[in-house]
Amino acid sequence: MLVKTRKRMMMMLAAALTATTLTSACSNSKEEPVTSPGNTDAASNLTEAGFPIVNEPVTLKVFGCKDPNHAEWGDVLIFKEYEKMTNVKLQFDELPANAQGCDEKRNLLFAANELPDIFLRANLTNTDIARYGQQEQMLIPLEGLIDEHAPNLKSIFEQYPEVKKSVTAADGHIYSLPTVRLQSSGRSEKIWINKEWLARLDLKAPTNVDELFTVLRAFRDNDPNGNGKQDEIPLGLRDIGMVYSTFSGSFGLEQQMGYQINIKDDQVNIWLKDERFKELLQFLNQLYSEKLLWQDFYAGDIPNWRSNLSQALIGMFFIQASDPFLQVENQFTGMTPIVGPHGDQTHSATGPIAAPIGTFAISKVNKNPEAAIRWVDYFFSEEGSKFFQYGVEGETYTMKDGKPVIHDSIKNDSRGFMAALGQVNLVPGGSFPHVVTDTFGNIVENDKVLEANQFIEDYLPETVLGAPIFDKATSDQIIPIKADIDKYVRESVAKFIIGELSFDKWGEYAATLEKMKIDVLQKAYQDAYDAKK
Amino acid sequence: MMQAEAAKSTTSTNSEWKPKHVLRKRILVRYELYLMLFIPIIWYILFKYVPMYGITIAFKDFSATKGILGSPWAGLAHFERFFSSVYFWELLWNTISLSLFQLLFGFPIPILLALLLNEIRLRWLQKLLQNVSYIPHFLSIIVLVGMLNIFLDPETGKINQILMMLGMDSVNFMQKAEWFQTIFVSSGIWQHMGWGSIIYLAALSGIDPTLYEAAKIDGATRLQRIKHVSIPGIMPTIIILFILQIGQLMDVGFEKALLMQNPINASKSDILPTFVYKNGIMGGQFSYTAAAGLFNAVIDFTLLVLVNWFAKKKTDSSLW
Repeated sequence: MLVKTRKRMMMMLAAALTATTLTSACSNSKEEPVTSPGNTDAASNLTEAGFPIVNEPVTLKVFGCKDPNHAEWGDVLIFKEYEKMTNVKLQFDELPANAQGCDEKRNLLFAANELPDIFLRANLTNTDIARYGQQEQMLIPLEGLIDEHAPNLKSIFEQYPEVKKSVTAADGHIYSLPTVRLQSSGRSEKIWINKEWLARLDLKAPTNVDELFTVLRAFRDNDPNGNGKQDEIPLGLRDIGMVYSTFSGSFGLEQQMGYQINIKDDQVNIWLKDERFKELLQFLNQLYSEKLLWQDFYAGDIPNWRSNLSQALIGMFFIQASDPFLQVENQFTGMTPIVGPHGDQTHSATGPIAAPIGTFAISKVNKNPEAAIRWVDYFFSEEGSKFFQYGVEGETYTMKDGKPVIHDSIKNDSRGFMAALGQVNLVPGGSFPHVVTDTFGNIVENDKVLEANQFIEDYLPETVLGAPIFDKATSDQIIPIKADIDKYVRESVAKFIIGELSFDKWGEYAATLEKMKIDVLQKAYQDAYDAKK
Repeated sequence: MMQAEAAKSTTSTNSEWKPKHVLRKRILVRYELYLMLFIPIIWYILFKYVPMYGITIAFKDFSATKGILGSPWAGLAHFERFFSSVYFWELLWNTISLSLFQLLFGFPIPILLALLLNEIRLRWLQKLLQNVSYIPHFLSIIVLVGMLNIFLDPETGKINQILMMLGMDSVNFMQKAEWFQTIFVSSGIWQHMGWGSIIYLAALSGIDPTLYEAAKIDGATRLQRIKHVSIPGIMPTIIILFILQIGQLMDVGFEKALLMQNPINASKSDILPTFVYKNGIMGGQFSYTAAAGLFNAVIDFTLLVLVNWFAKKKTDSSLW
């Protein structure tokens, strides 16, 4: 009896343990009353213009992605100051501190219909805007609000129609606001090379493929940093995405419409299976096999890359600004893109004026959309840009010859410039809705960076088109196609470069892309291009 | 449970109750027990069964504004897309082969370890080995994967340094698709074999010592005693744990696979759960990945039923 009971107990216990949990997204499907923007109470609370924005304090719930260098957003200086100026209080709920956690949380907020009032620096993708703006109407159209309440944005749109085009979705509405980078330097990755190493080895900056190999091989073999160890990384690409942008210009490949696209005579061409791309990969494969290219580049270990960079162990690399290697920046100089095997010399590591576009959006639950749009509009003025980037005059910067100069206490902070700046504003990591103009420049772009920019300035593509926001039918069709293609290309590209996949298999690779319907994807981009022409 | 069993035996002998009312009377008499039973039942219904309606999004075009119930039906479109996806077979095979590999090596090793420990007569040594072998179980996955990265590094990793000392080429283990499953399974065995052996050790200690004595008197050697006393003694435990393992066959360590993944080894390391995570939670394609997840669960369930049926037929032990 007892034995039997024990056995049965064990079975029950075991059965209970097997109860597998089926994961399913749970959602609150409460019917939200559709609040018409322009609630009378909210409207009368609004001031005419300027500051404060509202008479009675208003609280907005914010969702956003915190950069590791940011302080808690509630403690960030400009937010505290701006709250005093505007009477608009921001309420920050659990902001995940890494990019992956943030994408996850953002998707779950949408799926569970638990919306904040505004999405601020939430890295909304074009897909998000298509899906949650156009399709689900969870984000409200902003163009009406901009017309009425956002003079700064309005004038940017008038002056730079491409900015407006970039943020306009396929249905003609604007659901999100971008970072606007009017200063050309802010849009591009510069090419940096270690001039001390060059001098020590008595070499000049390379201008073509052969010279590049000569210089990099010398970096590898001749111990240019003179420490007796072979710890130099001749060429340091920081992640796999850079494969498409860094040397591609020398192979005649550009980055139009936010994708691997060239546009010639109004014809959109996704070049992922082109012969030129194969040549680029062969070139990178040779660099990799000779151990000239950083051997871990595809792992995406940015902290590791940065640590190498800050110790000046990398000979040549691409980055927008010098903030991760500020202490050793004088060892480096900018260089012009190399001339490719077919004579191409473009610099493709650059972006459109308005990018990223998903830095700010207002959700449908927001009771004060007018206040929210005025709150953000300030950052699109010269004054607001200066305030956002440099903080409070006297406290964090002083004006010198009409230019703001950040205090040395922040610049030389023991935690590093970016971490110190993260206490003042959200500049680290970028992606905040604001404008960067030539007047006050970009805080992370010091003279060194501007100097490096001069080397590439003449080689930038004439225009760089932003990524389109597709309509619902197209999105439904191409999201799965693009997901498959991107995954396949990313994996194959890494294998080609590392040598896991021989270039004999190129035909197979191209055929697989055809099978994955790359032509449908190209057609979608072509249609989007034609629609906005 | 034991009380309930005992209660049954007393009530069933009580002949003055009419059969029709037996159940109700029995419930009334021992209502406290039934009330207590009620709590877990409610819990199961609320937290395990009710949320299952969310599975319906696999058959719908989930729209957050319309909610799970209000979203329009899509039929089997998501399943069709999943089954016809270029990655379907690769995903399925990666998941199944990884699980089978894990089961094949991961399952017997804790049993061997338990038998081994059981044979050690020095109590302190036995305890020491037991403790040493189960401590890794408490390492978090992230630490474990970090350790793998450090030990297997092509330049500075200890394993490769040993290989190079022996005159062999260093291997970038973490970046080779063909090494992924081996590393995944062997590190899993290292981490969990001690912990997994605890149940077997407990079962072994439950075997009547007189059986061993009798075997000894009959002249059985150590190996024969293991073969004819120890193993049959823990067989029911082995079978139950085996069935449990089968139930989780497709549920391979998701976090570990995700952490060990990189573009180079993705052709082996991309498994159904990481696919669901990346496309569903990260990519916002909820309906599509719910379909993939449901497919995973259906395979699990089918395997569980099959193995249980088999165990019931061949042995006396089964889950139900």
